[in-house]
Amino acid sequence: MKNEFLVAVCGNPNTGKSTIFNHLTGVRQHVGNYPGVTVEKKEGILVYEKYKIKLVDLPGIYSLTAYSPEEIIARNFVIENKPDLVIDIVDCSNLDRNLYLAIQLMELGVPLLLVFNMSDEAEKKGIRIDTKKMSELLGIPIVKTVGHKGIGLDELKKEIVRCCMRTKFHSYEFIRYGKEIDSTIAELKRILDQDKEFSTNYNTFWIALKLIEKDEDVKELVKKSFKNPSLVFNFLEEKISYIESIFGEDTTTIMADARYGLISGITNECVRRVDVEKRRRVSDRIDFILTHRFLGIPIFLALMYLVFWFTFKIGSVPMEWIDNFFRFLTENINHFWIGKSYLKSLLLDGIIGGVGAVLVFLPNIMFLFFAIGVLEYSGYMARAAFIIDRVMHRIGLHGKSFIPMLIGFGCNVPGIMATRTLESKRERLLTILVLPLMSCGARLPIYLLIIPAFFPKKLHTPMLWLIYLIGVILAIISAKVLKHLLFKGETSPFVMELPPYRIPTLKSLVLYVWEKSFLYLKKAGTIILAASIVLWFLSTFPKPQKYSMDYNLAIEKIKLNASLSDKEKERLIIDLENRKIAEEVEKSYMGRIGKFVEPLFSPLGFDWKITTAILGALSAKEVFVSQLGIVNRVGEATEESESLRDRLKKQYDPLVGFCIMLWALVSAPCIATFAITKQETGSWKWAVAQFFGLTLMAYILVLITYQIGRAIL
Amino acid sequence: MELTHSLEDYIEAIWLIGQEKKVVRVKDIMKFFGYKVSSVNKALKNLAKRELINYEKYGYVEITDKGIEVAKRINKKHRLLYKFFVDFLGVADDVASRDACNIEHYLSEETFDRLCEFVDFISSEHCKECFEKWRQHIESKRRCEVRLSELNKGKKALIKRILANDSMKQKFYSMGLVPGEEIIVEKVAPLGDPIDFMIKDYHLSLRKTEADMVVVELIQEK
Repeated sequence: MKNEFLVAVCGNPNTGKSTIFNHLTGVRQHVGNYPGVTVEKKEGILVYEKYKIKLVDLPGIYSLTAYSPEEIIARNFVIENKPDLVIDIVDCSNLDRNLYLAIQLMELGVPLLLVFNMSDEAEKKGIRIDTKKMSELLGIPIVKTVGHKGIGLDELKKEIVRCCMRTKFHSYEFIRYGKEIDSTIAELKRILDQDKEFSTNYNTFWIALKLIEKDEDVKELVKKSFKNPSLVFNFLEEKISYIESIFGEDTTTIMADARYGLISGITNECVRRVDVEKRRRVSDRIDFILTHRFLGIPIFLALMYLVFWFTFKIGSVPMEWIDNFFRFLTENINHFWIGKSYLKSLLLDGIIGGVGAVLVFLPNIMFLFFAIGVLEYSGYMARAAFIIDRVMHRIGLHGKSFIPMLIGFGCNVPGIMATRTLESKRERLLTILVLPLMSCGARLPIYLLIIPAFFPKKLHTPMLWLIYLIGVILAIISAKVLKHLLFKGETSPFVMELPPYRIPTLKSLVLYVWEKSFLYLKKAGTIILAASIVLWFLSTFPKPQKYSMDYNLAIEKIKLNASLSDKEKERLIIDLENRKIAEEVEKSYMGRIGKFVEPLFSPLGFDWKITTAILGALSAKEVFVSQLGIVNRVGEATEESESLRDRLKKQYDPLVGFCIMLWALVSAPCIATFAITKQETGSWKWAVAQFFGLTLMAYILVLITYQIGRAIL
Repeated sequence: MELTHSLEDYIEAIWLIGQEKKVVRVKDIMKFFGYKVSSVNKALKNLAKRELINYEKYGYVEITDKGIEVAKRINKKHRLLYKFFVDFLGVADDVASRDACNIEHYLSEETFDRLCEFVDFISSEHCKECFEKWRQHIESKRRCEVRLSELNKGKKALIKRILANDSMKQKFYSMGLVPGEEIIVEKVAPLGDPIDFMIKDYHLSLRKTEADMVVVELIQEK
């Protein structure tokens, strides 16, 4: 006897689908992407008695048309994987619209179980549903639940198992679209059934129906897989124009009409509306303030500031703990493991450094997703998009792109992860691709080092603003260009539900944060760790066989020199040690690569010291500063190092300084951003394209700036 | 000898094409209907059998006197119905033309004659005042048809049709935006776009560009 089942969970957005999914599976979840697309795929296991049920959470959708990638993914999953059962979560306070999806699932002919969620909200709205009668009419079992309170979930589990065990289930032949269409479906089905291979692979009734509804995706399928497509299309064309001439409507409308007709027939029989007190709903009253004409924007901005502050300011506290822990670890290892060895260096600088580089983002990600979770589950996220869409749409993005872009100013990695709130695949990809142009916090030390070194005091603030502004402008331009290149002619409309406000439950928030953090650690973390170790290797090896001078001997000599004061001795020794490290880096692979690519970068005004620092900055942008300090023989510098500024001033002019900042702003994002882009887009393709695209853009921009600047100055 | 509706359409079309061109080719007829060859040939053979046309396969089509008579009779009904729908009932052009095409086949001679008389009577002096009132009523009703994007806050309207491509239409339908549904303008975003609507008891927001695709009829609040 079969005791393992595959069950798909499906439903409109904002129906409490994920809450129910979480309740059913707990933390036994696996989150990933559908192959090659930016659409999230969530799986979990439900163990009930002796049965093991694999649940797949399909994207939240309103119908099964070919309108969006999410819809196509959902229906293809059902068609290709043939789950034992499809659960459709229905918000019973909005039955008509929710049943539209249910009807379409019935058309697919899959075994169905309806979950009438949020039955408490419906009760409050005065909607009384006779689920028993409806279940009989539809021939589909119905379970009533209140997801966030956990009501009805045990019964749901029982029903899932019962449904999976059924050997026979009701057919849905009672769905009618009117005489003409029904007969056309039947005739079309007969034609499609002539191809035996096709009819065993696909539900020909559904294919016929979708063909009449003018579904582009299904048309393509028939063109590709049916042996004689012209037979189908000739017949189809004639029939459609005949039907449309009779009804005076296109078939798409006729079918939609028929479905809603069926729905209203059913709800007329099974739903009773009790007049409740005519007071304005609480949700509408909240909305009156939050989307108010004058108050709406200030409240929005305040909330956004709060999210940013919460993520980065509060988030910096645990970040410090992590930092301190790693420092403590390093110090102790240094204490107990005396002497120098490559193994020690690998452990300290490579592995511990790498793990630190991964973990350092974690607090930000956790705090950010807690904040986003609150916004999302409470229903404010849709309002935020509603309020700011005008501006974001102007620059070619969506209202929901605002939060990721804003977070990007703190750090690109959580910013890119935050694009998960964008439902549309196109807009999500676009936002991810341009997001690194938001100048993140790690680039600030570079500006803070360079600006005071080359520019007079009164220009400091305007200069900093200018850099950030350039980033924003470039993001806008790139978004427009990319939209034109990648999604030419595709419109991305804004048809968005504003769900009622709800109080998020702690359990769902915790699960949400856990899910995102785990995903980050597992997917992006491994890439970041590996890349950190590679970069450590490149900057450490090979050790010079012979130094240009014997540093150790020189240091000994200084120590013994009686004519020098202690202070002077110390200064000279540090200077020698810095020179030694500088020589080591210069002779390492990274230094060699830096020198090797110098000719490529000299038209940009960069010498090998800058290019080596640029290479180091791949691990994290702020590393540029310390690396530049090392190659300039002033040791590991910070952005406040005056001695490094002096060195820079001697070697370069303000134009080169500006070019360095421009490069830091635009060029290849750090490896963490690269890793997260790979994770979030689900393919190396986009991560690589982003990496090289931005680098190329930086190269061209800096080249033009430098060359024109040189010509003028 | 009864003709099927589609044969009636064919003979009418052949006559109409013949008015414009000297010779009628199968190609012209196909272009007229947008049908495929097989069905045209079958119909023409059928018409030839009834001696309404002379037709050789793949050659010219020549309408006979008997054919002209039939065609004229059908076309007269068509023109009357079309005129009645457009001028008297104020129906949109394309809808009137399609309806006339469908009804012409069913209209009996008796009803047709009565309708002719009625149209004459209504347009005569007796009814001038009343007819004028009716025209104004129609006109005001047509003016009520606006785009969803043009409505102000708080207005209520009935969805008439959606002007968009098929996939966009499907999207609208799946969100409950179907012809016949009532929609209320709830509020406009602080920056003037998008707009929040109430439909099927939930909030739906659309950008102005999307709301512009929806034709609605304003419901006047009493």
